[in-house]
Amino acid sequence: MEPSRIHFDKIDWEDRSFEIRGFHENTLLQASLTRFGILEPPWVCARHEKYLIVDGFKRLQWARENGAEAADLLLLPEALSTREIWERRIGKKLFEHGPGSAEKVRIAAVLLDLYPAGDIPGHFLSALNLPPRRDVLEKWAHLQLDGAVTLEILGSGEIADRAALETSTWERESRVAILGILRGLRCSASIQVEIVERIYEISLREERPLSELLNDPALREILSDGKVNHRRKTQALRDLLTRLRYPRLSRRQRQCEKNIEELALPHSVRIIPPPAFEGDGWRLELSFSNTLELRNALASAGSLIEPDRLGWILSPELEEQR
Amino acid sequence: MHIRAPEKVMVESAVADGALVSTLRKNLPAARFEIVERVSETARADPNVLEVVHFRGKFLKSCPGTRHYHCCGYRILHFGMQCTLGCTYCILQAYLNQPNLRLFGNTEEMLTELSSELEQNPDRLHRIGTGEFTDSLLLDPFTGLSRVLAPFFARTRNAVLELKTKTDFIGNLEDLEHNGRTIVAWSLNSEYVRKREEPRSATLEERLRAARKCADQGYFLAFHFDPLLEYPGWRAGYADILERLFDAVPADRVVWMSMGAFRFMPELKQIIRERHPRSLIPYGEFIRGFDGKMRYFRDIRVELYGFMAEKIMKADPDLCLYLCMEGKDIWTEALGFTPEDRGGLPEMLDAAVRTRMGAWA
Repeated sequence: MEPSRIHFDKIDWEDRSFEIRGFHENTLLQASLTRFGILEPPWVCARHEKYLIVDGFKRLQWARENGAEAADLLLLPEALSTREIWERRIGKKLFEHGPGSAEKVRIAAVLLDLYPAGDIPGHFLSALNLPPRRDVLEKWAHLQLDGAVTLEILGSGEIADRAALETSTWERESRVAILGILRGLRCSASIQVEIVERIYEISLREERPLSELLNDPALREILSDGKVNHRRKTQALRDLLTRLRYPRLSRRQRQCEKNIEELALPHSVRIIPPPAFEGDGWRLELSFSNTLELRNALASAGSLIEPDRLGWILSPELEEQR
Repeated sequence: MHIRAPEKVMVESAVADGALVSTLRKNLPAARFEIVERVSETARADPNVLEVVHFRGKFLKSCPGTRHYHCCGYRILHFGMQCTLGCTYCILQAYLNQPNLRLFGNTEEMLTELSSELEQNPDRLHRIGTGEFTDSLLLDPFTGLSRVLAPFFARTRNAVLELKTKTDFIGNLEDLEHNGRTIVAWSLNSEYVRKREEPRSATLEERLRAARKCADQGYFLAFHFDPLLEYPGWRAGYADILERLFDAVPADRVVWMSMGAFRFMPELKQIIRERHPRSLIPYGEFIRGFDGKMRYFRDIRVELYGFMAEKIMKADPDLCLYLCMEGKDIWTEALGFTPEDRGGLPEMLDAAVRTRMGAWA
């Protein structure tokens, strides 16, 4: 297809039905346009004596804002159906560069509209890094219903796909709230997923609405603390959520730490409980740099068994009786 | 309890003329039998399909114990796969490439292997069960397998059979020459768990009624509280089922009882979330155990076991009560002894066979 010179009067600037917005500033594109102008012709299709933009919304907008009245555009054949146009549009988007999260949401919604269950072309799904399951696609598409608020957060590139997806079944208000929190914490993808999962599971366990949990005073206090940086805030939030998600284990851990502290052991002697208290493999760690230090550490360690100062640390039953 | 008969039976040609297929043809007159060279793997479960394949592996398997947790030393007689009871916690859901009910049609080879194993180890007591990869009695109305197995074990000198089920399909056990070598066992849980997590299984009342009937027919019984689940109100729920159990069956017919707190392979969590979104069981306080499975934090397990043990021991202090896949620290705290104190867990169970069943004395 050869590009055709099309006057901007002929373009329906209001119609954005083929738009796949990224919701992020594309600085590289802006720089390229400023330097070289439009290098690759945008796509349009003819509809009702007007032309609809299919691909190149930003480029055409730039041209218009810079006083151009016409441009060389690729006119898609009139015989193409809407679905065929979308296939080309999505194909170009996916295979030129990986889509951002907001674009993924839009593409998922379009694919669900275009194809019946099970017929979505596998190459689109693999390019989107999605399994061939309609329910996953539906979760992505569902995020579109929130409108610009959620899409802008996703477009920021600061939310991990899996974390976003985990929230797809949440009610809108809570989803927007958690995505905002994650954006503010600037934590890694795995920590984002951990936070989202913990909050969801606490809500189920305690039968507390997500919105109530997200407004929990302890959680709000951590998030609104202006004195700590995002890393410490993230850690404090993770600690809080761990305590809420694993209340008994956390209690036992705190109690154990307290009990060990009460033994007033020197720094060279450490008692280490089995991970999650599973099994009976407790460990004693001695640190030393010379024989005198070793002798002292051994003396401190030896004092633990005579009289039995450890019994109530090892056995929670004895601890309860204490 | 009612089970819908399979509409279609896919049979591998190698076993098409076997006794099992012949019984199935008789008991499933409305089903369409399709003979194929090989039943292919499928990802999509079809509850209307029953597969009968030629099994090429070992029919006798060992219970999957680990170094860290005590195992009962039970042997599994592997006669089929899968279950349609659809319990939310079931590990069989994770067998994604074999989702359909499947039976091994070469029953004769299974019995030959079994005989050979018993003959090779004549001085050992073999405790053999069939309820690991499927429910022992779910398909029994169609397969009549219990009518083959119970008489087989009746003739053995050094083996007992345990049929584990959540059904009340005991019709085939009536009037069988079982010689007191078959233990009919039920997996039990609280009413709350039964309704929420095992909705397609027999009601507790049906299971207990069936157990009583089996006891009346001279069968020995066993009960397995596995998985025990922690949920609000679990104490009242489990106290209730224990009371009903000891009201329903004579305690001296019960050879053993086991307890196992809910544990699962990590990948099962997502499966439960997707298939049973209403189920809350994956959201307990789980930690990763030494065997890689998720299990309740130990204090919760001790509490569950301790509560149950106190009630069970009160009802029958001599009953052989054991924990499934637990370490000695949990045994000590929950039951007050370790298997080693009694010679080891397999020996405890062997002793129960001797004292309760009078077998292999």
